[in-house]
Amino acid sequence: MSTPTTRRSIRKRPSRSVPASIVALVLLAAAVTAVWGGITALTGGNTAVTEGVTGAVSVPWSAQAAYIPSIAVALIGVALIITALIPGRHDAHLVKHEGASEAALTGRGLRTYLEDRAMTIDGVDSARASLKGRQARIRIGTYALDHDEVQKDVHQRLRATVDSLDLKNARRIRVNTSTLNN
Amino acid sequence: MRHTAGRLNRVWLSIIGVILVLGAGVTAAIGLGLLEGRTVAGIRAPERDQPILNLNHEPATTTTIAAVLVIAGIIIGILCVLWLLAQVPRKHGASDLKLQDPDNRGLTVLKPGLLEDAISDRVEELEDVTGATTIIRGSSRAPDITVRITTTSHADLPRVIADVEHRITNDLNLTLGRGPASLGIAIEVKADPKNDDTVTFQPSSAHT
Repeated sequence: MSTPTTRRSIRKRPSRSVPASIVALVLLAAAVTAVWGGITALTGGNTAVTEGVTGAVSVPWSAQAAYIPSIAVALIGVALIITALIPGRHDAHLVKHEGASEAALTGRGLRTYLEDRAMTIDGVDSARASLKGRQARIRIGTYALDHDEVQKDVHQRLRATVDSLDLKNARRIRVNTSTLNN
Repeated sequence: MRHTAGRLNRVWLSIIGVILVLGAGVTAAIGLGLLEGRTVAGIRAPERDQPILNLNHEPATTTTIAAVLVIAGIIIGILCVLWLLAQVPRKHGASDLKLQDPDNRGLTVLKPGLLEDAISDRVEELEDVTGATTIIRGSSRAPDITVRITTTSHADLPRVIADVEHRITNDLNLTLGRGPASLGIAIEVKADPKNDDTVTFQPSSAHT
């Protein structure tokens, strides 16, 4: 009996489709130029592309026109390898859960949740959340004169909120307060 | 929810990266005289003053170059178009669900879209859930269900998750005779309406 394959996780790492599309488009443009140049040369028309290729490979190895672009291209290659190998962050946070299902709260969802929870606290006039590493940073603005008290209150309440969410990798809460004035 | 070509992209980006680094690195090393007089695997590094390729300007050479350009261009171009097409996120949903009766006398064919809409509607009836989309993968015997729900920011998420799981498992048990083989719930949070002059009413779900 074969073992069933596990399902794809509900959360994803970045699929790197932007760098992939850029590379594919650049290569496609080069391919179209090559086909067009080759066909026009074969049919006795414009031979600019083939002459360009002949000219480019006839320069000596030591020419600046050969090694400076090479170094640039090698650096692009390194950048591509790094992009491909760095896994990147998951787009959602797993919620601890008793049942059979896998549940995850999206990063954007967690930010909205924290911002809205912060806005319900007395004294808070603006709230902005950002997720960095294992930290959730909340920047709040207040018109209250004693903002230490507001900050303490926000920190306590949001900690309780995050604890109640039961995330698998609980976020540490950091609150920055600034006094708004005009 | 939808599947993307993450692995394909990473593999091809690595391969192209390695080709670029090796090719351009060797060219630069020869040009800078780092490989002067060295022999690697029986191949002697060319002198750095030599031209990269010694081509003559006869018509036969030009024809060969043009032919190589056309063939290489067509191959690379087709691969690039396929790679670009693979970037579109795919649903990979189930094909028609075939429900067979125990005696193998009849067959009912069910479009998965109907079941997906039904599950979404039922989940949307739950408290604090404002939207739901569902994808069914696999077969009616072992349905793999992914549902993305939108909740309000005052929702008690652990309770909502338990509700959604309970509702889907129960409903599937009633309709298909078995629960889902696996269930994934993605949760999105939408802020409550900020302005006081809009009020959202929801029909009561007394008959659930």
